[in-house]
Formats: sequence, C-alpha cells, structure tokens
Amino acid sequence: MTGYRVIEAQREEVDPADLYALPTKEQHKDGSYSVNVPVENMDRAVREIENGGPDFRVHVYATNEEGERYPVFINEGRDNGIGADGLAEMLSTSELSDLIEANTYGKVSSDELAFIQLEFRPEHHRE
Amino acid sequence: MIAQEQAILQHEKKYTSEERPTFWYDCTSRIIIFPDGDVKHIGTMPLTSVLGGIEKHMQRPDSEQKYGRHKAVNLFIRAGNLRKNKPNREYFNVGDGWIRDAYEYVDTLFAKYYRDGYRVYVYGTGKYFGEERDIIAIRKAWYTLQSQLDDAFHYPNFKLYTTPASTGRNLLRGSLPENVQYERLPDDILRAIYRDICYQSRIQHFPPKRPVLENGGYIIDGSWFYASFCLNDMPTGKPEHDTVNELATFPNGYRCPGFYYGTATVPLDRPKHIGLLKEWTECYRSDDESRYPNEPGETFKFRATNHEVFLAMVNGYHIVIEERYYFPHKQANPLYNWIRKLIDLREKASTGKGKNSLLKAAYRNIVLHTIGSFKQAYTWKNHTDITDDKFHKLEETGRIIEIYPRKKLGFISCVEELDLPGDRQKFVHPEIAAYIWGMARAKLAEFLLQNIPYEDVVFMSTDCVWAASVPDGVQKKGEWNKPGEFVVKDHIPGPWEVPTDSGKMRDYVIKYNVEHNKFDEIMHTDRYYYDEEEF
Repeated sequence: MTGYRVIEAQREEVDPADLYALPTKEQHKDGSYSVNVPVENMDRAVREIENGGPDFRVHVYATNEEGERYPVFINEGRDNGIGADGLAEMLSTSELSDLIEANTYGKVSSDELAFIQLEFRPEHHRE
Repeated sequence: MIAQEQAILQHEKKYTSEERPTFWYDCTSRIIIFPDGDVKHIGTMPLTSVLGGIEKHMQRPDSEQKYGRHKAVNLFIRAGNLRKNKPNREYFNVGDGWIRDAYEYVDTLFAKYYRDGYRVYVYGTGKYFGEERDIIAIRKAWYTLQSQLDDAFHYPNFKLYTTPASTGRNLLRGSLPENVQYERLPDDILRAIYRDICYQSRIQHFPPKRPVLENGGYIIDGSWFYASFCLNDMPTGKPEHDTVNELATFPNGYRCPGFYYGTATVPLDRPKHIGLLKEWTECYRSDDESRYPNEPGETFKFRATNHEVFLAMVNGYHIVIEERYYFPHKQANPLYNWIRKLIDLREKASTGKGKNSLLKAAYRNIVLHTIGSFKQAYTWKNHTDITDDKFHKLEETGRIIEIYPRKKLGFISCVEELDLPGDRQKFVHPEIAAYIWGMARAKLAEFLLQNIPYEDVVFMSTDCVWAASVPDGVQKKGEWNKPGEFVVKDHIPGPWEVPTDSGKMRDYVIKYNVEHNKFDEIMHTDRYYYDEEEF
C-alpha cells in the first residue's frame, strides 16, 4: 500500500471545535509530548519543530476545515513521522502549510488547513 | 523477556484445533452462507443486525444439535484489499449492546465483537482470495484449499486458519526437518535486523528518457519470485557479529547469509545504471523517495544483504563494510519441505483440470504472508479513545509505542507494544523475511543490469519490471513457469505515453492491474504482508 493510500485510509473525522479546546502542549511520561495549534498560531508549531532538534521524531497530523484529519508524513513502514531536525530544515525553504498540502496529496490544502497536531517522540538513533 | 524454550522453532506433531463455525457474508449481493453451506439472500441490513441474526441462529436448538454448542463464531465478509471492494470503515461500527474490542481496517480487515459473552470474529476474504467478488466461489475455494493441503501435507483433518500467515506457519511446523532446532536471535541482533534491514521490496520509477514509446512497453515478471528464494540457504544457526571489512564465507569458501552495514561508492567508470544499493538514512523517506544512488562517484551509507553487497562489488562499487551480522553455522533450510509442497500445489492450480484462480491466489498468499510474518517480532494493541485515567495507568505499566493526537479533551488513543503470544515466539525470525526480501531486490537488479539497457527501464516493482524492450530468450508467460524464471507477462501497445513521475506511474499500474483483473498484484508493499495477527 503506497503513501497516498495509507493517508487516504487513515482519514478521521474530528470536530475542529473540540480540537480548539485541547491544551497547546502536553508532556507524557515516556519523554514524548504533544502540541496542538490552530492554523492562526502556526508560528508556534514551527517553533516547536525547530526546538525538537535531532533527538525527536515528529508525527504531524493536519485537519482541514471540513474536520478531516490526516497523518502527514508516512514513512516506508520502518518508522512513521519525520526527524524534527529534518523537518526544520525543510521549513527553511518551504512553508509548513505547503508541506502539509504536498504530503497529504492535496487532502489538506494550505488554504483549508484548520488545525495542526504534532506528536514528538524520542528518536531511536543507531548506536 | 522471552523464555528460550518458547522461542525454538522445531518439528512438531500435526494437530488440529476445533474450528469455530464459520459464516460467509457479502453485503453487496446480500448473500449469507451458513456453516452447513445453506445459502440465503437477506435484506439490506447493518452489521449489528447480521451479528444479532448469527447469534440467534446459533442459539436455536437445531443449530446446537448440528454444530454443537459454541460461544464464538467466525464471520468472513467478502472484502477485497482495494477500498472500493470493501465495505466502508463505518460499516463496522455497531450498536445494540455489541462491543467491538479489536479493529483493523487499513492493511487487513479484522474485527472482534462480543455481546453477553457471545463472540463473533470478523475477517475479510481479501487476505486469501484478493478482490474476488463471488462469495459462493470463495467459500468453495476455501474448503477445496483445506482438502488439498490436507492431502499434500498428510495432515489429517487439517483446518485452515483465518489468516494465510497462520495457516502457513501451522503447515511449516509439521514440515520442518526433524531433530533441528532453530533458535530465536539474541535480542540485540534481532532488534538491529528488525529495525535496520528488514525493509521493503524495491518499487521505483525511472524518469522517462523518451516521453512516448512508439512500440509500447513490456511487463516482465519474475515467476513466483519469493517462493523460488525459499529453496535457497536461509540465515540459520548462531549468528556472528563483527566489524571485519569483507564478505563472510563458510569454510568451503561460499558466501554465507549475512547482513551488512557500510559505505558504498558508485564507480566512476560505470555507465548510468539503475543503482544497486539502497541509501540508508535516518531522515524521513516516503515510499516513493527510496534512493538507489547511481551517480558516478557518489558515496552513501547502506544496509543490505550479502547478495546485494556482492552484486555491487562485482559491478565495481567500492564497498567498505563497517559492521556485519552473518550466519556461518549452517542448518538445514527450514522452508525447503514446506515450499516444495506449496509450489506443487500452485502448479496444479495453474494448469490442466485443476486450474483455479482462487486457489492460485490462496497459495500465493499463504507463501507471501508466512514469509512476511517472520518479520513480526512484537504485536500491538490499539487503545482507542480511552480516558485519561486509563491512559495514565497504561503509561505506568505498559510499553506505549505511539500516541495519537487527541480528538477531544479527556480522551486519548495510543498503541501498546506487547510480546507475541508464546506459540508465535518460535516464528519470530525477521532475519528470514529480511533475507528473502534482499534476495528479491538483488535478483531483480541483476536481471535488469545484465539484460535491459538503462534507457529502457521504466519501473521496478518487487518482482516485476516495466521496460521498453525485452531481452532475447525471455519467453511469454505460460500457464506455469518455473519459480524465479523471468517471463513477459504483457505488452502495452504503442504509442505509450510513459507516466512522468512516480505518483502517476503508481496510479497507472494500479489502474492497469484492476482493468486486467490482476488483483493479486496491486502494488502491496511488504508492510501488507507482515502486519497481521491471528486471533
């Protein structure tokens, strides 16, 4: 199953109003943490990605105005998500909303993006 | 921690567990087939009503007499692997007191329901029979398959398991060489192979050198590719791990199975070619972004099997091995007896009076899913929309490997990693899956390198290549071809406008396969074959 179909099959329906009620940042016991930001506060998402650095892998989820949520970076079955530093590098030349549009194959277009959720997990580097 | 005695794969007696009564249902044609073969048409109804009807039917006194008293049944729902051929996700939401406590929809269709102690296990038919739509033919093929396996494996009263992988493993345990013990890898080596080298087959599009192929294109296929590799030596016996910069060999000088980490440099003097080793990177890479560097002089990191590394070396790559895991203490091939019988059965299903496309698909799926299932070293439990309290308890006691973003305050979903049940531990051999997948990549690359000019290569997909030319000596696909042999499967008439990027190529291939009823070849990556569980 290719990335496009994985993304399509993982579409979820959410209520954007519920997302607005979530805390902006939430720490978990295993060292991972979540960030929830509406599109109006996209700068915060970008800042969090930049702060993530090489030791975190970030799983990005984007919700459009219709309340359809999609995972954004689907890997090749090895480990989903993207290194936070790698994504930060991509952000030096592209807008987050454009990356989301490209990597959801247009399912969440940049002008319909409503909410961004980031799940940061400690990266397992090869020792 | 896994007890060692739980983790030894060895010849075992054949045994048959009692089969749950099995219903078959197609929600499009609305045909339901009862465990005794009785066929009925029913009205359009939600799954809740189907489950309720099954429970009621099974509790009737005459049913108890016929099938015995059971607290659980199987329900096979006609569902292909394409989304358009399976009921939508919401169809599996139920009410009326039924509770769903397991649900997989994307790579496999599976759900578990219970109500007042009564259980229904729901499976899609796609894992065995692909996109087939005729539920009556599917059920018939199921019991024919059971009987043929019973005969071929001398397995009295053999019962199919609900997934092809578990059926394959059950047949394998009775086919292993006697008095040989295949031990699970030590944890550190197992983790390293599982994480770093057990990766998917090669699916790659090559930008068109000519926008239109006047004479069309050819689809060249390696016949039953993976089955052919099961006949070779496998990585067995105690593994060794070191940093010696050379390919490991047996005492007789033959290369032994192994996995290598290192640095490769593409030769400066080699004409443009397909690239022979996949670049290793810890950064993000989607399905379409795997790179097999081919620019002269390019240096990159790789993780690959001995076949791939050797192929690169003989083609002039400069290789520096930095780490190697290899298997010099050879044991008998665990798959040999098993695969020989399955190859025979598939040949019978492909030719003469025994020709049956559903059985062909089922044998193929048993082999591919069993190989894929060797990769599975752990299992995962989805916790969907649990309360924060439950989540915090799980954080204390469990191994949470993924947390999903919240949908609403107070509820969260996550995935917990669990060790596989005891009986599955002995089949935890990611080195076998990784090795077979590596052989497939190497063999396809070698075939292309030796036979098809780089300018003619359009697309590589696991065991198949789309090209602008056909090498001499490659025959048209017959009813049956020797496993591993390359044959021309089809010709796309010219002029053929070659898809310009990997996305367009992928769409083209999927559309082509669907239009040509090649449902068993719908671009599944290896994830599809290993990510499953028997319940």
